[in-house]
Amino acid sequence: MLSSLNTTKPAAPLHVLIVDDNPTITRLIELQMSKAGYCCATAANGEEALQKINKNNFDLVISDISMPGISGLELLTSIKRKKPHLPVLIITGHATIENAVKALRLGAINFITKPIRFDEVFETINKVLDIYKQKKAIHASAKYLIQEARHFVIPTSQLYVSDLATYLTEPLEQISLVDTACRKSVTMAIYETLTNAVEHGNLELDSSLKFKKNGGMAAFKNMKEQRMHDPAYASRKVTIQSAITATMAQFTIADEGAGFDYNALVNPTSEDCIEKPHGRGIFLIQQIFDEVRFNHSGNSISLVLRKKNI
Amino acid sequence: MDTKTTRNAHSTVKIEGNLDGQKSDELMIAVEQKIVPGNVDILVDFENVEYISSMGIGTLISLYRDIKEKNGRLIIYGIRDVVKDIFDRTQLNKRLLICETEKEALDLLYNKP
Repeated sequence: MLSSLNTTKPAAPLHVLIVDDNPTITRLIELQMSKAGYCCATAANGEEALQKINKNNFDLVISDISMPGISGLELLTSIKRKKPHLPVLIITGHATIENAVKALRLGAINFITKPIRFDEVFETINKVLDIYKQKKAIHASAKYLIQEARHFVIPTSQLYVSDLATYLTEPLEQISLVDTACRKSVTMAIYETLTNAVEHGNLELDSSLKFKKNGGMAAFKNMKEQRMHDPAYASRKVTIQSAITATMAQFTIADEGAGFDYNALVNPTSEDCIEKPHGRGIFLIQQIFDEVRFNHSGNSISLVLRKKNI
Repeated sequence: MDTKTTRNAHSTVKIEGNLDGQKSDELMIAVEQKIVPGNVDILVDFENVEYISSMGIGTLISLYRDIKEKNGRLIIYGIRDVVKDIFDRTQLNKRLLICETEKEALDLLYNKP
């Protein structure tokens, strides 16, 4: 019986958008969700849903997968592009289970099959709510952070650039210094900086080689591999210091290479350079961070990011 | 990385994940394999790309130049706002052909209004 469902009423009502071209289904979901204390809006198709999503702050979207016009998957893709954090729950008939799997890959939090079992719907929503609560609790405490400092000295051969960049920048999102989209850009900028420290700094490789025709990339990789096993290069270390407060983050990344003349950097957006495939790493870093400074020899870079009051 | 060749003599390459060093290698190989005489137009599906590194940008430029030399076109579609911002800032939006959707990319390729 629907009336005997075990539902936990949310403390502050969650705003839910229900999208289905079948008004009976929309009404049914709306009724059950409203009974459980959720604040509901409905849309009869993907276009209407997108309009409402642009104008309102929903906490959750429940959408049918098969609709005329914009399909559920297209709607999901558009939502993930515009509002990547907005959870989307997909409803599907048994015949479209492959699409449901695709929906999960595209970022849906879950999918439920018709006929709709509301205990399943509420179980999924409660999971989303738990994540919300956890994030809220972390944010409530994290605003009192005085400083988190980290200091690493990593041998070149043990520095896993991509994983380390994620590890170094995850706290920025946890304490709400930046949102997820911005954190990903910051992770990318740290990834660029660590790559520079390893490849140009400690291993003294020339990145323009990567894009040379007829085997440039293979030659670059080959040379990188050789130097990774040559103690003269591989024993060099990368020093990373980070200091994170509730309002700013500072990263200093230093290698043991000869450095470079940062005054000689050219603008990659200039007409002469725009079609050159290399030389954009530092430019991208400068686009993300509020301050970018080098030491005198150019083998240490300091990056400062400030909380934006948006 | 999913690739498909269509009867209309273009190929589509879909990038899954962020276009960093590793993925750039895969993109380069996937596209190079697809470029054959009579089929030099390449569509790149960016729907699932959350960010792009300088290596990714370099790879796109490199491919753009190679394909242009062969009188083909490289069209990117489905880019997210973060990636669009990078293309705007690096001004690659002035060189690369960027479309909102696959349909728009196909219309551009086959000169449909």
